[in-house]
Amino acid sequence: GSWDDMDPQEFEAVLDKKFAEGNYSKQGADNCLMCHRRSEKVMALFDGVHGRADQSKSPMAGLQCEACHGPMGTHNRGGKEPMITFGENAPLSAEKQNSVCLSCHQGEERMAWHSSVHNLEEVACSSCHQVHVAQDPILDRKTEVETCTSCHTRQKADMNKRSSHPMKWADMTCSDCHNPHGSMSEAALTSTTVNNTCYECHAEKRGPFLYEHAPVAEDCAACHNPHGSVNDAMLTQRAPQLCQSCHASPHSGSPIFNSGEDRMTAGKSCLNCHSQVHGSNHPNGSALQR
Amino acid sequence: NYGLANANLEKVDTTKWECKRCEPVNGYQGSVGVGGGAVITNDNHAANRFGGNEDGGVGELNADVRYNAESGYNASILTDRLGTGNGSANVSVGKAGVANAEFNYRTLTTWQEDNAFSQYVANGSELVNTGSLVQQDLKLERERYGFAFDVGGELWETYANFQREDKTGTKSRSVAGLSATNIVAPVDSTTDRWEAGAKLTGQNWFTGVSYIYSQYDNNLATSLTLDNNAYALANDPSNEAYQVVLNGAYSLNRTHFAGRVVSGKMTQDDDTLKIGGIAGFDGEVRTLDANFRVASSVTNRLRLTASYDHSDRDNRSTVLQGDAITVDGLSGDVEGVKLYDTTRNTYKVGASYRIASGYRLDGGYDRKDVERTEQDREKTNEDTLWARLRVTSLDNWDFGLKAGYSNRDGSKYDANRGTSEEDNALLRRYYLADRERVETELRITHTPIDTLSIDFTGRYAEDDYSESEIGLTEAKDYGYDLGLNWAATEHLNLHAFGGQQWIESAQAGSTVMNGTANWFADVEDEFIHAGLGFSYAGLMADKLVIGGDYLYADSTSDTVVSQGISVPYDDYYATSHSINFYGDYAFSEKMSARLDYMYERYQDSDYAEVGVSAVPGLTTLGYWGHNYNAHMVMVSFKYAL
Repeated sequence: GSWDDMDPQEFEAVLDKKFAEGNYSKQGADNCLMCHRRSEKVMALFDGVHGRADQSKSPMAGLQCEACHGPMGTHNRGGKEPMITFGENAPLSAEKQNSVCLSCHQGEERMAWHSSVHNLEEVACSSCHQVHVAQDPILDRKTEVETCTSCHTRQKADMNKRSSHPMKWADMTCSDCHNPHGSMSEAALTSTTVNNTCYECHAEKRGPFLYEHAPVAEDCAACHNPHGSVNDAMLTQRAPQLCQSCHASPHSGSPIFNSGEDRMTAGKSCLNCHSQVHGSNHPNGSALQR
Repeated sequence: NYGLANANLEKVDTTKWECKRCEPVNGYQGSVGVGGGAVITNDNHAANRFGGNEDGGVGELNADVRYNAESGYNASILTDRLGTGNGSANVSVGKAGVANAEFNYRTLTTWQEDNAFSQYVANGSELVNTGSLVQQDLKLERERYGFAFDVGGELWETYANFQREDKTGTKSRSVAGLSATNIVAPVDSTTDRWEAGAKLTGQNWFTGVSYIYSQYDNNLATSLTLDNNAYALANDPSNEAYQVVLNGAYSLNRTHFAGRVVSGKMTQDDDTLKIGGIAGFDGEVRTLDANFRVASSVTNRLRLTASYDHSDRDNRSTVLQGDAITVDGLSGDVEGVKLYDTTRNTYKVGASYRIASGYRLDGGYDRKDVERTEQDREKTNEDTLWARLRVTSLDNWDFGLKAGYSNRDGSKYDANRGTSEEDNALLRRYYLADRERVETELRITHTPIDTLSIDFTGRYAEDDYSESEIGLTEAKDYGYDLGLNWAATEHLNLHAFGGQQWIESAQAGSTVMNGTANWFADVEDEFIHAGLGFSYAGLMADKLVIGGDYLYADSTSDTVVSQGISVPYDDYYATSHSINFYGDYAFSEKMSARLDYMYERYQDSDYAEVGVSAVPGLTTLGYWGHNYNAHMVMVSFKYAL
């Protein structure tokens, strides 16, 4: 529109006024499409769920175009009067843009949106989502990781390290563990706790075991970086040094110099004997050996 | 707030809204594609790069078929690489907000090695000694399938879903005796997950309740048998867990409240091996999690947030002691079962203030209290302060500068507790130890022209374990990332990215029981990656799109142990070059063909990987890292409906 260069505050004030006045069009979408039907982007709305009048919760079943873009007012007289617009280049604040989407998209998956990092960072819904399409690309696993890592560059790097979850080719995606709309759990995890999130795919480590390994029961992330590591198995350090950060008996606390030629470092290192680091159910397993 | 609930509908008259110009798509839409190709490799580790596909032919089905009926009901069949190692399928039917049903299926294969050598070969839960080395795979296959239903009305929804995962394959484990023997251990398990719930949603509130049940069944015996020892290694016990989740949210103007309470139980009552001093074990852990969040836009400039999180793990397992007292062969200690309880309370407050248009200052304070039983330290407390300035007012530049400081301390560190009497009294376990952490991050985005953006992020973090004389004493983590995106012409897109990261940690140990530090280990991890790619859509009258990506990644970890003399460890690195080229040609509006070529050059080295009998007292699986060139070619045809 011609209002692209309008001062954002003035722009918002006009929209506030229009929204409060509620001067909706006489013929709904037919009014809008009189001019806008020539735009492929506009008409692509009808390929997707937001364009379906036969679904009661779709905007097309309600106030149609004006459900999202606000009351038409005098916009149809030459298009000079602004409408609610979306996207990175829209002069409207993310909070105002998002208020439109959130008025329908409430509920469990977005219940923590307002305290989420993405909300506090003023990320607009339209930064990730598209409405005028048959199928929103971000909902396709193949494009999801790419979108997330365009900002989360550390994680983009991590997934190319020696060990990582299979993110590179979207065999796993960010949303398998995280809810981008925020969650009631730390780091916007989809499950209740860090460990619970891990158990969703690694249920064999859930136990409870007869002999537990205290940091394992407390926090998988004490030893593993789930985004990737230069060490095998996404370990933050490798054995024996990782183990020696917590164990310093005459047996476990000695310096080990010959990396590949010592049974304390070669093969599985400390785990050559203490192979049950995630917990043991063996009656003789207190040293996590069996 | 432009939400529908706030809309002024007094003047709306929709009786003449006919939507004559609307063009809803009924019937079929989407596409169907089939592809075939081949993987050429002499190391199946490449399957991790090539969608789970090993050396040989590959066929795939890609379908994205949707059907919309005028009644508002719709159905879809989506498949992604179905038929390959990592493929998926999803079939759904229903009407949004009324009733929906979905069936889903996916597979995932993870390769570690295809050349593990062991004379022991698993037959069920018994490892049979074949007398000579047998080449075996270390590979896990997951097959997941499930269904989901939901039924709902204007304000309510109920749902139920089920998912089963069969996990089969092998993993590397080890059996300790007089010598240690690494083995290729079998994996055969089934995990079921059930979830059912109900939700109620109003204009400014939400509430929901759900029940989640998970059952892990290990299809193997209770223990692995090796060399006639039926108790060589306990297998992972079958277990169950459930959670009851109650949550709700409420918005009052621009203040938003959300809360959740989760009560759960994890149980495990597999048969206890009839050996040693323990006659029976009933594992039971109760969990309680409660979380509250409030966020309020107090004014247009100021937003406040606060949260409280409580997480409690209460181990209520019962142990039935047998007649014999068992003594650990190595330490000489009497075996003892410890039931670990943990309680965490986290409090956070934050504020975000817009100083002026395009200038925002954020800050916050977090407090995390943890209480533990049966460990060296009963309580730890961590205080964190952070602040960030974000500047977006400049024409072509965005800046964000963040800094944080946190300090963890706690109750007396009792190094001589029963749990650690065999450890040096000067040891401070890193997850319990006093720690000071300083973090900074700088982000810059520069858009010199509309079509070009350049991003830079630099980070520095330092952990200081000031009270730790033995154990981890210091860690630094710093690096940078760069990214560039350029839409050079209408047809040509270019991107490049890269970065480096260094993680340096220092630890100290002592050869003298309770003596001061007399040996030191320094570990330097380094990671570098760089990639570039393009897509060009301007060939053969715009019918041909070509593109390509190249990625280089190098992980290195160097360890040096010093005691008077400094001895570096042998090589530990992984290097890869990945290339992907594609061409997509549209024969007509409906028909297109695509050619993909992927290449991976992968090499890694690990000093721990040694010959089967190279080290006295240790039998390894004898693999020697990876060093290969692998190729994959795929040709696919797509037909648009």
